[in-house]
Amino acid sequence: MTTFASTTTGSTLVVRPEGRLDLVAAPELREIVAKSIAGGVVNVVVDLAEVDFLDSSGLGALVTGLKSTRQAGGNLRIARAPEQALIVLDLTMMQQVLFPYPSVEEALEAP
Amino acid sequence: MTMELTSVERGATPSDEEARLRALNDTHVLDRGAEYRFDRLTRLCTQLFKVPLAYIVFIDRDTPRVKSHAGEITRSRGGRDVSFANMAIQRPGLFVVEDAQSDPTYANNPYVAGEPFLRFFAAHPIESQGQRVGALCIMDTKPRTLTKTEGLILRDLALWIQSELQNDEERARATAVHRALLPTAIPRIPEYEVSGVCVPSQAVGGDFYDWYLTKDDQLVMTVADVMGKGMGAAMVMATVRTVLKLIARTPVLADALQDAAQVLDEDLNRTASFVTLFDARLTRDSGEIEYVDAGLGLALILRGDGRFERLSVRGLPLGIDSHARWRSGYERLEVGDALVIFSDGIYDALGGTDASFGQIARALFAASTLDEGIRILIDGIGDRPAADDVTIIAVRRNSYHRA
Repeated sequence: MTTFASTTTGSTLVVRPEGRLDLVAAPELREIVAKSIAGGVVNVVVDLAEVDFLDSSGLGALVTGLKSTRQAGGNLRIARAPEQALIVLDLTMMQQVLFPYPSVEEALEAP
Repeated sequence: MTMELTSVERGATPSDEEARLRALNDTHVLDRGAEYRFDRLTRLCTQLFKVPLAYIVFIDRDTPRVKSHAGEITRSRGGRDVSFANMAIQRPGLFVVEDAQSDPTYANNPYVAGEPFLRFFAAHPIESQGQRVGALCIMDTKPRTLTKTEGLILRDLALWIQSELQNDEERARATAVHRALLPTAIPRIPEYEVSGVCVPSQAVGGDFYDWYLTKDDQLVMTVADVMGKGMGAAMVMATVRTVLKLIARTPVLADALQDAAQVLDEDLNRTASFVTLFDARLTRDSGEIEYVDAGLGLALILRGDGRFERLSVRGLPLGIDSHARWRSGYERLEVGDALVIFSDGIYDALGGTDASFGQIARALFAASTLDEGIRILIDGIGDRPAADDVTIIAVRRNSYHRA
């Protein structure tokens, strides 16, 4: 079971999935991000530190979030990606659009 | 003069019965063993109706076949003629016998006169393609009644089984269509060895591969993977496949991919999906390869001397960024060299690290043919649960001259 802890500060949401970010869990992340954007959030940081396994569906949820935050004039960034997630990002070349920040703070402060 | 029975008196006509058996056969429900979803339902029925036995039975040509039961079931004591479930499917709606022992119609039935000494029986037919193929049954050894509410619940549960069967059939049809879109024959080029497999996972998947020899003697090889699984992924995959076919004649591969990405961009955006793919064109006489890698990242060149290289010109998957650009990469196969392309199903099964590339290369180097190497690789991951489709295709150059 993947759980999601999230904190909203102003127009910024930090969400921490814990467990697998895969076919089963991806829809919930999509929904959390979509609801937040509807509620006025424009910037999202996904803290991946506690993600055991990221697959293409998980990646899909991140990309969907990225597209919708950009439409809202903001951005979605990822932080603290574990080794397996970094490998997936590298294979798919997605680090070009989802740069993995080493900490949540750096992701929040990135231009 | 012989008396003809009307079809109502005789029960089903032979042609009706054939249609019913065809409908039952089409569900494939009897081809599978026990299934949790049905076992949970029969267990629920024993608790809900407070009966010692609940079961789901499908009526085959000669015998009723129990798909699932909760509670102790008596061994069959005959064919359809004595089966209560068979009586239940003769007409639509609920079938209830409150006390079989005191009813002359049933008192001599072997299940009533003998084990398990059935007194109460209730069932609702399960239909498929409009045919009553089976029934959800409950029984008790004490006489009792079925309240109106209980009757409605029994009906609803039977209808739930019915919709499960219908979903199964739709899934099976989608799988068949998906399979039909994969190539059936291996391209035959005598001076090359071509080999590959696609082992689908249970769900209709998003993996796709293709290989064919063009009129200009180019071998086209493609592996693609749509995000996610299921019917949605399969539908996107079918679209991608068609677009790839249409661009096959564009001279430069990177331009072709650019066109494909543009055509697919809106669909992929709307479906919140993306596609990773690797596409290569191998010129038969020169051994030259032109390739594009859109986020697949899982292609190797195995050199004849035992070294291997990952193909390094790579770009984003389709559907990520409308402004993404791709470049063609170029390689050349000398005699003994091979190109291998695989999906993340096999990569993840091997551990999903850099070491996995070496594992694949070593397996193929160690075997005398690509077929054998691929078989060894697939067998090696065979006992791990394949969460995803496993696709791997490869080509090796065995001679500089046409055979």
